[in-house]
Amino acid sequence: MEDQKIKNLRINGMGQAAGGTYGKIGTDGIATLNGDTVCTTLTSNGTLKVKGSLQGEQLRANGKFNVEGSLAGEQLRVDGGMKIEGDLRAEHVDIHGMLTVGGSAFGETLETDGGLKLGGNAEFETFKVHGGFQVGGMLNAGNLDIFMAAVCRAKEIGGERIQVRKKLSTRNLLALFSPSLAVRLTADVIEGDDIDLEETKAEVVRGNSVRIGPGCEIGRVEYKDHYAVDPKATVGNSIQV
Amino acid sequence: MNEDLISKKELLDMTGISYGQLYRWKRKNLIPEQWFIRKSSFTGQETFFPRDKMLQRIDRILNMKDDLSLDALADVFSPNTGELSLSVGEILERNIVSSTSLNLYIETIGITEQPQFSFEQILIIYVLDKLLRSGDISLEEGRLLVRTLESYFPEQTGREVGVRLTRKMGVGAFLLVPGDVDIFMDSEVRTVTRLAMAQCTEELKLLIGGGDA
Repeated sequence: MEDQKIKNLRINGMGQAAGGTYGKIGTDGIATLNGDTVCTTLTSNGTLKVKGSLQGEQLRANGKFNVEGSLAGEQLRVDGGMKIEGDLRAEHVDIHGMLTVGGSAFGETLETDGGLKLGGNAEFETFKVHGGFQVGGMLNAGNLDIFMAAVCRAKEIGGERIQVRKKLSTRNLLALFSPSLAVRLTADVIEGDDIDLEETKAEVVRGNSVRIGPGCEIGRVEYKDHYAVDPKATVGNSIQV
Repeated sequence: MNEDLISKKELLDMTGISYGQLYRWKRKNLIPEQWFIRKSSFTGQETFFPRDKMLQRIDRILNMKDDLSLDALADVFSPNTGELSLSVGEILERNIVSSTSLNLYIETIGITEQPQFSFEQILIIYVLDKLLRSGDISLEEGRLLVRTLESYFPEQTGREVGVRLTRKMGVGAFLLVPGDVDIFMDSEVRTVTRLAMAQCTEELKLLIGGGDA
């Protein structure tokens, strides 16, 4: 293995290559990798489709990027649309556009400007979203920063610091057609140390310090130290535990 | 499985940890996903944990987190065994197992010159040593145990396996129970002893890791 030199791969225009181990992969145009691929860096402009799983240190895509298996890497940056059918595991994820993951996502930081759709769970130390997200399972993050501009939904949210804000200038025309399209966060349970919410609908919110901001609809609040509620919010009942 | 469960709220009250800490430990894989059991209750959905396992785990995390980083702790609790090997001399020097157990193992497996033991092998010797010391098994049963574990652990049983010694009418039999679930046997079968492999893995890792520090 050692004496065999690892080759780089370059695709311009339309082309495809077999999977395998590469050094640098660069594609411009429409490219397909057939099979599981390992690389050090990958840069793609245009459309890239990986028919298998992908592993690499630095992954960068402009345009459309589809992975049929799982993706593992250190840095992932996408401008455009990305779709992963399996799990996503990366230290730093930076998405400008849309990210769809069929499975779960794990890593240190995730920053999204745009949309995020996850079938399974999300576990990140820092999770920043500007836009909207849908998490099918549980969203677990140390630092959760959400700046809502679209529908945000998760089954459960847990973390240390949770802050949810709504973008002020969002015109809420879609909400006139269907309340499910309104710009708000919906979750069954939200639990954390320091929770600060706006425009959120949840059955239960539990935390040490809880602030319920305008537009919230919470069934039950359980808090330990601090509790503040905005007059423009509705809370079913609240207890100090 | 009718395990005794503890609700998340009760757990936090008892241990004094916060939601944030619990979620952080989960992210660091200190608490396995399977322990989060979701059930509906009158206040909506509640999360429950297996009481004994969870309280023990939290206690150990709280005790050890000052000495070890969370990532190092995750290695201790992870059922995966690292790529580690020790020679006979090192094992005895560090007092990981007794020489009786080691000899019994070597004799059963039939290795000759200067062997390096993998973590899995040491784990088997450790389990053997533990059972021999407790007096629950005889030397002959020890040989049986080694042969049983050697042929099935961990490839076929997985790492979260329970080891049980049962006797019926004076005849001993070892059972390897994947997932360490409850099993039901006829009333004449007596379970002499039971061990959880995952817990032994943790103990052994601490024993070996502690020797390095």
